[in-house]
Order: sequence, then C-alpha cells, then structure tokens
Amino acid sequence: MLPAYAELHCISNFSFLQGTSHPEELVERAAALGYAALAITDECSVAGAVRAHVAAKDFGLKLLIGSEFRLIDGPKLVLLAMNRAGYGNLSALITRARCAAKKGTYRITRSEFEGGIAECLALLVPDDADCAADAAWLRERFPGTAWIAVELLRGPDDTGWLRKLEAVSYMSGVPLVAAGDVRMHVRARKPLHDVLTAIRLRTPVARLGRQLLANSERHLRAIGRLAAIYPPALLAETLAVAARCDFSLDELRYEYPEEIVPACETPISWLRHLSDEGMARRYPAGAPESVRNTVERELALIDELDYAPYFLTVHDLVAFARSRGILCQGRGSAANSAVCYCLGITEVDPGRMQMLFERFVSRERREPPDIDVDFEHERREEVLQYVFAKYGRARAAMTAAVSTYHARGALRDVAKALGLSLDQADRLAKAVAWREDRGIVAETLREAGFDQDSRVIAQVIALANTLIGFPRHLSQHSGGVVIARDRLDRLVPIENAAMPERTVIQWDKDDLDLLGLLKIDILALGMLTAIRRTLDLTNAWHGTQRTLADIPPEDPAAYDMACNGDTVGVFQIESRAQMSMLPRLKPRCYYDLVIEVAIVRPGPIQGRMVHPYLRRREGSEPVTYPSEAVKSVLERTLGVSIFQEQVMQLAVVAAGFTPGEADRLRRAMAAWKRHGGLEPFRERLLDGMRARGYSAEYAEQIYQQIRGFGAYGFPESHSASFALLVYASLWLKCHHPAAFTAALLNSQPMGFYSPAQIVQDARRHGVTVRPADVTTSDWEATLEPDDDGKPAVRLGLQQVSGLPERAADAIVAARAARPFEHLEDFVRRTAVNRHDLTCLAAADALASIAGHRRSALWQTLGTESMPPLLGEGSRHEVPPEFLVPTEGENIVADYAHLGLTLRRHPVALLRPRLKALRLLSATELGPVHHGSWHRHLPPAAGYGERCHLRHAGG
Amino acid sequence: MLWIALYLPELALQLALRGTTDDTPLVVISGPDNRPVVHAASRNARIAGIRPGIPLAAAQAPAGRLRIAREDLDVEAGALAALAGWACQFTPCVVLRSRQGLLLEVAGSLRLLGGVRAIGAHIVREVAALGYRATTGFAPNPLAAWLLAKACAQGMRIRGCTDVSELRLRLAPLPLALLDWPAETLALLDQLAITTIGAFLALPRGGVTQRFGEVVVESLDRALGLVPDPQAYFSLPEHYSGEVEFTGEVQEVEALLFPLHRLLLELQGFLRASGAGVEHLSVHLRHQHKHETIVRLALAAPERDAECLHALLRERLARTELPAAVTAISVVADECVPLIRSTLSWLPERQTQIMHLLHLHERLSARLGSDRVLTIESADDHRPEHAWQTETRRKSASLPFPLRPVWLLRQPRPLSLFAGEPALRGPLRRLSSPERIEAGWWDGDTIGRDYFVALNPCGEAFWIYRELAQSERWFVHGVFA
Repeated sequence: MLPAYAELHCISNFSFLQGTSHPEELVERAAALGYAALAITDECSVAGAVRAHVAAKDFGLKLLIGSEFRLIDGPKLVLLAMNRAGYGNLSALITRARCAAKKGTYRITRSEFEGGIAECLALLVPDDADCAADAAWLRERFPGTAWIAVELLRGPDDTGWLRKLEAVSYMSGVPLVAAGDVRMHVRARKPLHDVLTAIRLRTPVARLGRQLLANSERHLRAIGRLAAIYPPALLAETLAVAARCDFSLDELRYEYPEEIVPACETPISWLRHLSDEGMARRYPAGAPESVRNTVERELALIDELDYAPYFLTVHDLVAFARSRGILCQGRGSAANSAVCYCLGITEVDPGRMQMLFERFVSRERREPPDIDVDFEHERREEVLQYVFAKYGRARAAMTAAVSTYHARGALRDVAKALGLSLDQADRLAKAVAWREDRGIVAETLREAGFDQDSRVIAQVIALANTLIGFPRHLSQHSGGVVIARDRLDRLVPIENAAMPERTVIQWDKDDLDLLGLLKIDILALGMLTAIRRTLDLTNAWHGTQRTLADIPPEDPAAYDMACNGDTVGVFQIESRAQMSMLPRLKPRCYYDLVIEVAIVRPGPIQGRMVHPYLRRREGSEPVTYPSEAVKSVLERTLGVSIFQEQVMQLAVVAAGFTPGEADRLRRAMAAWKRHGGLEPFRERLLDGMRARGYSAEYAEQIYQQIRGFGAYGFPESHSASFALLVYASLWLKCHHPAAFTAALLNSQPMGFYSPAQIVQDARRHGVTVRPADVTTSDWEATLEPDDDGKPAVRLGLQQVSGLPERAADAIVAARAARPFEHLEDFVRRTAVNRHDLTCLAAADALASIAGHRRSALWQTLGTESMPPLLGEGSRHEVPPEFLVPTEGENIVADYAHLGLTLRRHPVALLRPRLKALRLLSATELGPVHHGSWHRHLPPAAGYGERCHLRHAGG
Repeated sequence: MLWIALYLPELALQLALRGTTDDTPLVVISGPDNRPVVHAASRNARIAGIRPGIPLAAAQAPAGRLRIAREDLDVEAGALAALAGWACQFTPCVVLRSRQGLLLEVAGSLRLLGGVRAIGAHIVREVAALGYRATTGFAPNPLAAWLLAKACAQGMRIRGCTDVSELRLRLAPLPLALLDWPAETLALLDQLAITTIGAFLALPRGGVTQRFGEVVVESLDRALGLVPDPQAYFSLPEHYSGEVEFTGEVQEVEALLFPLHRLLLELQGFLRASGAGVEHLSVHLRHQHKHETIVRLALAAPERDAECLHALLRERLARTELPAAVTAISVVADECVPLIRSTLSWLPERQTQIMHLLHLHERLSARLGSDRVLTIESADDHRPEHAWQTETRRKSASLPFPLRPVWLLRQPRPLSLFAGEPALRGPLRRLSSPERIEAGWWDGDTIGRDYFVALNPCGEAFWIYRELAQSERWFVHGVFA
C-alpha cells in the first residue's frame, strides 16, 4: 500500500523561463499519479492558477493556490492560501511585491512578513544548512502555520541534508514536510528546462556548466519513488498541510461597483429607468410597439441573468464619453440589443436589425455578456483616465494579454540555446511561418537547406515544438478593464505594465471568462475619430447639426460606390482584398455589409466558404440545406457559414452539442491542446451528426470549418456594429468627399492608406486639394470654397514634416491679427524659429510670401541673426540667384517634406520614356482586346512611389 | 609643405576582407544585436542587391550565403594605428584620421623617395601588399589632399596639385558631401541645389557665414590654403601589435600564412620606422570557446626582414596543432631592440637564476611550444569526466565541487556483482545516498547515473555508480585517497 502525497511546491511555465510544463499538464499528471493534492506556486504570481483550476476540476484533483517568493534579504518561501481571505492576502502581497519593481520583476523583503500573512501557510525552502535563524524567524511570523520544506532531489548528500534539516526542525520547533520543487510534469522535459535556463541566462546550454540542474528529479515523481526517498512522516505531513487549505477559485465572486446605481434604486429598476428615458429620446413621437416589446423581453432576460449592473457600468462610460463629445459605439454579443440602443451604447436601430438579442446572450450558458466599446482613437485615453479616476487604482486595472511562443520565436530561441549562430538561428526561424504553430516539421527546414538528420537540428525541432504555446510574458491587453466593488488586488494580483502609471492584472480575458468575472473592453478606433471630424466639418460648412444617427439609411448612391470597389478610406472595406471582393459580392443593403466585413477573414477563406456563398448569391448554385435545423442557422447567409456564431450553433443543432460544449470546443481550438486535443471533439461531432442523419462528408466539412473558424472566425455580433460604421463612412465619402478627405488627413495615422494616396483618391473624385500655405492653412486640413463654391480641401501645416503644432498655432494667431506682408513680417510676428522656418520653406509653404522653395530657404536661413530692431533697414543683402526647381525636383522635394505632392504623378514624368518602351498606361489598358499581348507597369500608387522618384526627377 | 592623403574607404569592410581570399559576399553590420543593420557590403554583395543601411534581415534574403562581420571600432582604431606605425618609415610626420585613413607630410622625404607621384604610387602598392585598398591625393595642405583622395575613391579623376594657386580650380568640382560638415548643413545646401565646392564658393561670403556659421566657411579656407591648418602627428609606439580577424573560421595552418605575411610586412615597416629589429615575437591564434594558441619565436639575433620571419614562423606553425578553428591571428612584438646591436655571447650567463615555477612554466613553454606544457584545472560541468580539463595557462581559482575522488579513472570500469551487489576486492558497502547526475544530451555524450561512495572490506573507498537506464550495471569511476 503506497502512502498518500500532496505536492506543495510546484511551478508552472507561468514562472516564465523556469517552469517547463503547462499548468494543465501538471494537474493531469498529478492526477494520473494519484496525488492527493497539488499546489501551483508560481514565482510571485498566480497567472497560471485559473488554467490549473479548470483542469483540476476536470480531473477531480484538489488544487492549492500559492506562490513562491525569493526574498531579497532572506530565504525562499512558499505561501499557500488556506481560504478566501488567505487568497486575498496572498494576492495583495503579490501586488505589493510586483508594484515595487519594474514590469516583469518583483521585489520583496523580510519587512513584508513582519506581521505574518494571515490565513496563509508558509513553507521555508532552505538552500543551505544555516537556516536555523530563518526557521525561527518564520515560526514567529507564522505561528503554527510554518513548515520547513524538505526537498530530497538526489543531490550529493541527501541523507546528510535530511539530518541537518531534522536538527534545525528540532531546535526551532518548525515541523518538516516533504516537497519536490517541481518544475516539470515529466522528467522528459529536462532538456527543455535546460533550454529555458539558457534563454533566461542568454548563454548556450553547452556553456552553462553547472548552472543547469544536475538531474531531472524536479518532476512529479511516482509515489512509490517518493516513498523510497522520504520518511513516511514527512509524506504524511503533506496531507496535513493540504488539509488545512480549503480554497477554490470558484469562491471568487465578481461584485459590481456600487456607485453606478443611486441609493434608493436597484440595478434593474435603474436600468429600466434609464432605458425608458433613452427610448423617449430615441423616439420622440413614441416608440413603436415592437420596440417596446423587445425592450421588455430583454430587460426580463437581463434581470433573470443579473446582468443589469454590467449594462449600467457600460452606460456610465458611454455617458461620460458623450458628455465630452467623444464618439463611441458598442459591439459584441450584448451590444446589439434594443436596450443598448436606448441607452445610447449603439446606434443599431432595432427596427433596422432583425437580430435577436437572445441569439447572442445565451440563457443556458450563463456566459457573461460581452460588450466592447470603441472610442475615438485620439481620445480613448480620456475614458481610461475617467475609469481610473472614478474607481481608483485599487479597484480598476487593465487585463493582461499572455504572449506566447510562436513557431518562429521558439525556433530562434532554441537554436541559439543549442549554440547555433545568430545568423543560423535567424535562417531557421525564417524557414517557417510565424504562426506555424501546429508543429514545425523537418521537411520545411530541409527546404531551407538544413540537414534534418543532424542531431542538433532534430533536437531544435523537437524542443521548439514543445516550446510553442509556452507563455513568455504578460503584457497589457489593448483595452480590457476590470472594475471591482472593493479592492481588486484581493481578487487578483496587479502588476506594473510597461507603460508608466498603468497597472495590469495577472489574468487574461479567457481566465476572467472562465471564472465568470466581468471586464469591459475600452478600445480605440481611428474611424470614429474620422467620422466625428467629417460630421463636424460638414455641419460647420452647411450650418447643420447632423449626428451619426441622422445619416440616411440604405442610400443607393453609396452602395453603388461600394460595388465599384471605390472605397479608399472607408472603414473595414478599404483593403485590397476587400476592394476586390466588393464588385463580386455587390452589397446593396446593410446586412450585405455585415457579411462583407466578416467574409474577408482567414476563417471563411480557409474554410472555403467564400466561393460557395458568391455562387449562391448570384444564383448559379442552388441554395440548399441538409436539414431544417441547419436552415434555421444558415438561412440568412444562404446556407453557407460565414460567422463564428453560426459554426458553433451548427455543432449544437446538427451534432447535439450543448452550447457550453460548443464553446469549450471553440476554446480548445485556440488554446494549448493543439497536439491531438481535438480528437475527442471530432469524434463526438461526427458521431452526433451521423446519428442525426447527416452525411459523413458534410460532417467532416463542418469539422473543418470549426477548425478554421475557432481561432480566426469573425462574430456576427461584432460585424453588425462594424457594418454601421462601414455604411456611415461610405455615405460620408460618397456625399461629402472633401470633408471626408480632410477628416481622414486629420485623423492620421489610421487605415491602410497614406496621406498621399488619400489625397490622390480625393482628386480623382473631383475634390480640389490646395497646398499647405502659411497665409491660409491651419494646423489641420480645413475646407474652403473652390472656384465653384463647393468645398475644397486646404492641406494643413501638419503635413509639413518636422513642424511642431505650436509653430502652426503661432502662425494662425499672428495671421488673425492681419495678413503677412513679406517674410520679415512673417518672422517678426510669428517668432517661428529657424528650424521650423526651414521646414516650412522646404515644404514650399512659404511660396506666397517668399518665392520658390530654394529662394525661400535661403531667406529663412538668414533670418535668425537678423537684429529684430533693425527690421526693414537690414534688408540690404542681395539674394543670390538660385536655379528654379524643375517639376521633377519639386515632386521629389514635396514627397520628402510633405509626404505627398499636388503636382503631377511621378509616373507622368516618366510616361514619354515609357511610351518609347511601348508600355501602356492603365487607362489605355481599358479598351484593349482580351487575349492580345501588351506591356504595362504595375499600378504605381501605393507601391513605394519614392523609389521611382529619383529617376523621375531632374 | 606637401601632403599625401591615404584614404581607406570602408575600413571596416576592408578589415573583414583582409584575412581571406574567400569571395563569398560579405557584409559588415552595426547597430543593436537584435536589429543589426548593414554598415558596409562587399562588391559581390552589392551586386546581389545589398545596400548599406538596410537591415541585416533584408540582406540575407537575396544573397543566399553571406558572411557577416560585426563593426568593431576598437579593431578599426588598432588597425589604423598599426598602419600609421608602418607609414612612419616614409616620413616622421604622419597624421591619423580616425576610422578613415592617414595623412603623410612628405616634403622632407621627396628627394629620397623620387618625387611626389612616385611616392604616391609606391605607397599604394605597398599598402596593397598589406591587404588594404587605398586612394591617394596630394596637395600643399592636408585638407585639400584629403578631399582629393576621397574624391578619387568616388571614382572622380582629379589631378593632385603641388601649387597653392591651382587649388581653387582643382577643388571646385568636388562634391560638398566630401567635407565632414554637419549632415543638417549638407542637407540644406542640397535643397538649395548647392552641391559642389565651386557652387558654394560662388555664394556671397557674408550671407553664407551668417547662415551656416564661421566654422563651415573657415574649413574651406583651410582647404584653399588661406589659413594654416596645424596637425597633431602620430607618435610611434614602442611595441608592435597587429591583428587580422577572420569572418569565417580557418581550419588549416596553410591558410594562416597569407594573413601572417601581411602582418609581418606591416611589422617590417614599423621596425624600419623605429630603426629596430625583434628578438622575440609571438603569434597569437584566437579560437572560439578555447584559449588562444600562442606560438613564440625567439631569435638568436634581432631581425626585421618580413620574409625571413615568415619562413621561420612557417616552420613553427607547421608543427603546431590547432585545437580548434582559428578566428583571428595577431603578431605581437613587445621588445624591439636597435638593429645595430649584435649578440656578443652564445653562452648563457653564469649567474644562476632562481627558477620559479612560473618561470619554469614559461621556459618550458618557450622551448617545447606553449601547447605542450599543461596544468589540470576543474571545468564547469556536471559530468565527472567533463569536469576537468588540461589548460595551457593557470587559472586563478578552481571551482567548488561537492565530494569528489582525487583519482578519477580515465574510463569507468564495470564492477562484478556479488550476490546481486557490486564488489571490488570484496563486497562494496554503500555509504551515501545516491547522487544523481543526468547531463550531456546537447553534445551526444549523455549520461544518467546514480553515484555512491562505497567501502570494501579492505577499507578502500571508491566512487561507484549505476546506470539509470540499466540499474544492474555497476561501475567504479574513482578512488578516494
């Protein structure tokens, strides 16, 4: 009969570059070995705890939550949480240690432990025999809750070590307990552990000598082996320690902040009040019956699921943004609801949408609702600052994003660790795709000229394949924010992010989902900035008060433009791939745009959905469904799955998955189990579909779609909100091209295209664009009447490279007093310094007052030493004659100092020479006969025009 | 005054090319380790489309095989100093232009060397023998000579001049970019379409001074010889040390002879300049991960002739076994003696000397070759058979190890079993808990063993182990004293 054992000291690969197994692997192995319990004690971290927790529930293993600390002025300690309060204390301790050091590190001293850590057990992990003082120190801080960990790891003298620790225990009265200092789940991970050590110490494995572990004993050892090594009392003590820990992460309860509800209201009553108010605003003439009913139905569901505080929290943010004039829009599962429309979280009019809220918020799954809110990209920071100011740093923090090893990084790091040169490591890494994460195969590397039979290359491949998916560090998620009712640091540790004054929790959004904790994504979207600016410009021009909601729906002219792929600057559908899809998909209504947004994605493309959909749309393929159930899911997309939700729903209706299982399946795709972890799902799916009478072929097709969509599919709930902005920007581009162009220029950097391309596109649409000029331009692009009284774009001084905004402000202010007479007048009144003057001259922005750019430059260079009091009197110097720049020289200089030119396209200068070579232009190519041979240049716009310019100039 | 400028374009690249005759495309990189940038590219690399300034990553794609050397300012400075020492044989007035070349004031040596053109041609030839490519220019002042040499490197054909009155004419067509003016100034002038010295001189002097500063205008005055341009001369050091680094690894002794010859030619120039010869000379061969190999040459009489030294060293090198591939070769002459002195006595001095161990080591090393006198040192490895090594030099401290036997068998010996237990002159009693050592998967010499200290009935203590893979196989690996 083997003794029972609980491992109390075990780190996972969330102790970055130290632990060599995933938390799930550790849990699974411990369960297989029959351990009574397992503690995950990552170094000053609980980042891997949620994954371990989920796995422990699956395998029925008791999990202890703890953490290991290396004191700066003391020994190494392991703390284990006894209960919820102890976990809170541990979490707060980790927070303090992490916040005392820069990102990725921590700093902890004995002083932190002066009063003990209540409700936590402490293990002293001695590294030499002089630990008597430490043991006594620990006993005083942790009376009755301190142990000395005896880690017998087949070192030079285990017997002697045990005897020494027994002596220390006897003298100090601190009991001994067995522990394993586990760093890997199986001994076979030892080579990878050596590699991680090498990466951490930036030294090849072969030169690390005894900095490597002497053996692989730090794995989860079989209990039989432990029984042969440890005295039975020490093993028994592990159970005693484990028995005193009674805490599960399931006990963590998210509690909404209280201040979102006034004192005498409940969350749901307040939400009802706000949505009634909103409804009155949205429908001044009274809301239609259908909308009223929808709102009622949704409120009932929200009440039932207790989500009211969440909607209120989001509403609070949106209301703040609105009060500051910041444009924002929600998206995500809960966002497309009539309630959100009333609350102003989205502009998706429930009358225009046929989407069902219930489709997105599932009653039985009880998954937390998901609302991402996009804000104008230049002003998102204001919203974040509002959150931190309102709730305080102790209650709000960003969620983490776990960066993991991908194929390339893994290959490069492993290759370097095995002593390959930087150059070889780079070449190896280049041989694979960055995200070739399903496993690197030797074949790929052989094609790149590596000998797959060589021992080193074989080792590199094997080790790198294991390393793929390992977490390497925590970074800040782009916008996820967690807000707690009380102290957040007692819920999850908080640490410093790379950005100063920013803090981030140790869990990512999947961890939060798994525990049912709520987060709000506060994201930055450049297009919102551009739309707000376009509206501002048109309103100022026409004297109107138009808002996003006032844009007329379903305008045929706007759709015509989209069908032509004429979409430079339009949200989401401006990429080359989208532009080539538009003429084929021919969007004619809002829902077509929803599909357009989702279809040009890796999921539908890899799942081979695009062509069947297009064929069915144009009627060249019949629209059929294998069953009524499938029809209910796929009808709106003509029987082809386009959206992520559809694929998951198919697993439900066609294979009998529960919604929870379908979601687990989706997570499994994206998560660590990429090596064969999908097989059980596949069989369930295929069996389930066969049982429901689907053909094996169709079942396999659905499985392949799930594979493709799991990680890269685009959800309909997000697409629906995006499509609104697609339409808005499309309409604005179509009807207010000048304002739209100016707004895009003023919102840079954003989108796919450079200012040069945006300006060229505007001019092709007949918009007059005028150069930046100190006598008329502001900092930003503005509108002014063109010769016909239509709006023309006046480029802003922002286009002048190197010019700071305050210089432009000074120019605008001085100009407001009276116009500039000449350069001296300009210099004297604006007090612009020499550097800024040369920038303006080089950009030809002084042409109105100082002549061509060379003449202007010479004059501006001379201004600095001009005695200000002498003024006019000092202008006796005769300027030398400079060569007037040629058109080519001007174009080159424009690109260098403005980033764009309003002169002819550079290719126009080359055209005579190209003609001589019998190369046709794009317009000439239009009418040529199909099948005849012609020569032409690739379209130049966008393809590094500058590289051709040197030839064009002169 | 008559100055000859010796301009070494792309010195870093030249240094990298100097050691070999391999013509694989080569780039010199600089910048941070994680994002290196091509600093210079060899001719064939440029043909493959690699331009200075692009990231190394971008360079690797088109070139296929590519040799990569890292820019090293210390190496460049050392090489230029060695070259300056060599140049002192022509004139004592040598000026070092950091990272770019040398200036030689040769008015005093003109007659000796047969006229300025002859000197120029001679120097270029001799420099080429050292493995450098140089362009020259001569002029009555150092800056003009320097500009002409740089212009020559750009392929411009401008005659040198000895007469101050011709300077303006000669310098006018040169691009302004040759001057070490601030990049900002040059960029502004380029925008004004002022690109040559002539165009610049045509601008009004007052306006130019006001706009670009006195320093800029003054530097052209120096080039035109309108103001004096005093220089700090290079002072000849007492020792010579020159090095050639290899971009690849050199495996064969034969391949070392060529760069060695270049170094010895440089040494010869240095010795000529200082009127000296050498009695002791050492050649250092650097290896990766291993201590360098030193070949010492002691001569009966001072010597300076490169061919003679080369012949002697060729002999020595032929008998030297390389412990690893060579990454750099250097020649060091610490003690130079005036060449007129001759050794008077072959007999050792009568005075007996106390030979310290260290002296003995040195003497033995000098006689037998440094690689034949070894000491035993501990090495940092878990594997006992890898935990010691022989070293040619003593290290200061040895590494701490847990209990290890003094005598480690060269080959572990299998033990016979006695009633299932290992025995060596009687049954062995194990005194310790097992010490497990698993290491070496990375170099193919993998071990996995449990070690014990064990005692036999005679009281002899052994270090024995059993294989983890086959636990019934026992070996003795060491004997305790």
